[in-house]
Amino acid sequence: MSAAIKRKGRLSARLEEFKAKSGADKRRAIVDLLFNNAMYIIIVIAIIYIAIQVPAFLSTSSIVNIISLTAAKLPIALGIGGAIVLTGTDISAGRCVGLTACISAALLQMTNYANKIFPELEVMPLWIVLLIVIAVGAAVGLVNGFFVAKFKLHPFIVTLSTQLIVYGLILMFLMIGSNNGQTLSGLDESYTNFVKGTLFRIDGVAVPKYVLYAIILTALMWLVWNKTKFGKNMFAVGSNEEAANVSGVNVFWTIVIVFVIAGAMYGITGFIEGARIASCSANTGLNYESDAIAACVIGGVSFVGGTGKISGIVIGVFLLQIIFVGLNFLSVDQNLLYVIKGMIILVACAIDMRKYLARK
Amino acid sequence: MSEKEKNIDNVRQENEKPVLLRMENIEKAFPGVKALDKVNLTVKAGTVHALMGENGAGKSTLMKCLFGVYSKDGGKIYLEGKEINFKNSKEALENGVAMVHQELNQALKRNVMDNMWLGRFPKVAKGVPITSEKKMYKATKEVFDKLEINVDPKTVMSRMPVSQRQMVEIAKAVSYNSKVIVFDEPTSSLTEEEVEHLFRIINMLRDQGCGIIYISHKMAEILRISDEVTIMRDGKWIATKDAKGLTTDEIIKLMVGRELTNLYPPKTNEIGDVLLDVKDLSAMYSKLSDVSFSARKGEILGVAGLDGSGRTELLENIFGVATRKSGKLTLDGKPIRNRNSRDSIKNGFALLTEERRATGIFSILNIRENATISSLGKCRSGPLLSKKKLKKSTDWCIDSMRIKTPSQETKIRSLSGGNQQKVILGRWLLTEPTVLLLDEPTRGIDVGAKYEIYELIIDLAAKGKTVIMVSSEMPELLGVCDRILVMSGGRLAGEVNAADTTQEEIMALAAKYA
Amino acid sequence: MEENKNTPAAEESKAVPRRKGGLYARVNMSVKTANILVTVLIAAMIIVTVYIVNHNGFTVEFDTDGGSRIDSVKVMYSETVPVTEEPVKEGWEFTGWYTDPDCTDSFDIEEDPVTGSMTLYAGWEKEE
Repeated sequence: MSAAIKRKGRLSARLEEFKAKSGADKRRAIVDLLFNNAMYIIIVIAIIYIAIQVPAFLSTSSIVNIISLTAAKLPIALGIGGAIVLTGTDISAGRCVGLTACISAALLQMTNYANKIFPELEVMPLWIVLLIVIAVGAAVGLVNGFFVAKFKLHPFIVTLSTQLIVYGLILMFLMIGSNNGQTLSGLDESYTNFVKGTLFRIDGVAVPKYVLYAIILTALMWLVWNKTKFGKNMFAVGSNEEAANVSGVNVFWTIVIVFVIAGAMYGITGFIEGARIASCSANTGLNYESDAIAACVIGGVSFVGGTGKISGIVIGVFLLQIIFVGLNFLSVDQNLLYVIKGMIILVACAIDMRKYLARK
Repeated sequence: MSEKEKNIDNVRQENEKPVLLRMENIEKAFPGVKALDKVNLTVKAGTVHALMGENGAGKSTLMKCLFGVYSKDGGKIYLEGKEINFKNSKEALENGVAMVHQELNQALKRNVMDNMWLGRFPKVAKGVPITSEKKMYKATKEVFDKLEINVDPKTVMSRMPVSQRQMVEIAKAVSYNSKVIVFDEPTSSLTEEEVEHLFRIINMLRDQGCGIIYISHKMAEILRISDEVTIMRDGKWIATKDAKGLTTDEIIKLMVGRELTNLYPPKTNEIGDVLLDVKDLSAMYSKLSDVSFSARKGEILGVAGLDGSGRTELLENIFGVATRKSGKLTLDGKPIRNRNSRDSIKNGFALLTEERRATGIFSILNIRENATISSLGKCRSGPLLSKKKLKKSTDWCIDSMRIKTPSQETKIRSLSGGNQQKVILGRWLLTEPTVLLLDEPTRGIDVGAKYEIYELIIDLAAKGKTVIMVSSEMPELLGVCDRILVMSGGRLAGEVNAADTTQEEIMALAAKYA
Repeated sequence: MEENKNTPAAEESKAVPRRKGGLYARVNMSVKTANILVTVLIAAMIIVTVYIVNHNGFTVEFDTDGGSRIDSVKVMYSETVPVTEEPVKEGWEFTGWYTDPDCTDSFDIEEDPVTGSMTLYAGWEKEE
């Protein structure tokens, strides 16, 4: 209630500020407003168009589907967001998800499944597997973070390398035993239930449990970003590394931990993804990072560094999934979606760049 | 009466020299502020026109309107009688209006002549798209000889001190045959000797009939070099006067709109026992070597020296952000290591860096985040940060530092230099330091804010803290410090008592190993 | 101008590029240019998207595992596959279409709606 009043006050204050401007400045303010929100405007128009063309787009099942997809893609974006705040990026995310998804699937196959990768293995307790994949993800993040922080390499180069290494690991992993690179399926029920089981139903449409997990992770990351010393340090390092160092921020560990947290997030995503798509292959997780980076940039986590909000990331992921689902309703082929995704990232970055252009 | 005098003055001058640049009733408004309110500026050929005012008075905004960086809302600009309206600084440059910036934008990896002729490299012959190094070298040499700049045109920019890079910038302006040259705080990183050289160049340009606009905070310089002074305050034109009859006090009075009886606040600090002892401090990657000194409780210890004499390196080595080769630090009788900034903060040190924008502020973050970054550990409740405590800390900063800001959430980059400096000082005071290392605490800050910073420094010393303060401004050191260390060529050249020394003595020491 | 005694090392250490201002620190263009570029990019994105949407349709391919060839077809969202002919293979009997090569998830070609591009695999049973 009070927040609403406060917001309203801020809005009217802005309106007054706007009214006080002279003609040229007024025009400039409007142009700025249009450009800064161009992506949102386009997306809203697209949603309206799709909803008119295909009314089923706004049906309960479709909306639940969008929310589920958002939940599935959210943790990875939360991880990458930190790297972007540090003016970096992380392109090893997708492969990391792939590796952890394959590991979870392999460890949690049904005991009586014929093509088991580890035939001798009983079904492991879920929490142990979860810890294992988080550890694997965090280990990759540790390597990323170490090279970025210690050698001052650009994260793009470091994560490009780890991406290749992780891909190699996935392929090797899938060759274990008699599996011979085949898709992993036949997952244990406890695992699929834990991830895909029904949380509750809306109009008879089941909302999967991983939506809850995504909400928990989001809340956790919000706390980390806003309420911890580490979070504040992260923004400081992203804004001005030199000044952060002089101010007593441990720049090295801040960078390392950002990447380790990101890695842990990929591990959790992998765990969820393994059950969600139910058959894991070497291609699982391919290009997930591109969706996540696009979502972050749309959500206002800027490559300028030191700025970004968790709420922005959530909105970014959500809008992106709406667009993808909507385009699917318009019968746009998955392959062509990549073209659109690429252009969305380019446009979002260009808009972001314009926002932070030095007004000299 | 004075109005009449001024008019007479103007008439006399106008008869003498032709008007080169005239800016009339320039207006510019930013959201919520009127940055320029009917400002007039008239620069005559063959004169140096000083533009003065506190930070935020609208000097740079006025210049930005001239160079087309901002589009003005109202008013007219005439260059040699013709109305002009430059769209960008390139157009201005081509029309003979040049600016030597306070912050240099140069290609540091390239050599001098590349920077001079950037964008207009001389060709081997007309129509042949091959640049001629020879021609470029010759042309550069010619300009340099004319200006008595002793620099090899083939030197790589990054290997030269800031002062010489600035000379290159001036030479570039001259090579465009500029009629009007704007100098924006040109002496802020120059030594006395280099300032002399700069003034020789400015005088030479003036004698050639150039109109020079000189923006500076340094009174002594203004009175020495300029023919006319225009003073601005709060975006308004206050006065244009002949420099001859002006005094420092008069200018300050016009600038701040009140009388500043004293440039430096009275000293109230009492000097106690030795607190910090530095022995044989040498740096690994800079030429700082074998510096030993001690500082007492409640003492303000100045560090003087030329640019590049190791003053900054001394502070950085004490604070542990630069690598030490050898040396012992003793605080209150106990040996300390200060291996890195966190270690130093724990030991009660604080370092205010020289380059505020590069190593001080987090420009994209707000005041609260900027103020509390070094003391986040104290603002926790449980494992999480408490917004209430953060707010309280920041409030304390804003109150005790007298920071002028609309709110805690204001981005720090929208504050003036003086207020930014106060935020950073507040950031350090929140860590409750016992030894404050201040590197050029008043650089690029206007007179009023400087006085406030001096007050803060003396106040801190009075509370028993040790302040070590580096400054290029000799009067400031003499006015605020108790003792002054003089650095020269990376070594400690001497130590003087502020009360009974002279600028000449310090200069002599500063030149000892240079 | 005798300041050249500064050791190269000291000056070099100062000249080390500092990462500040993030990725856009080097962007050097006027707001006007940026406006034009961003507008062009947005327009390009919209044109490409509209083109793609106008040439839409999912491709359904058929893998008959050595049986008679069936050409792939384009299907719109939520429509059924408009193929009625069944593949034939010497010595085998066709048992229906499946979405996976192992022939575990069956796909009813007359009932099930299409929601994306896919490959359908023919199921075979050895003739007695």
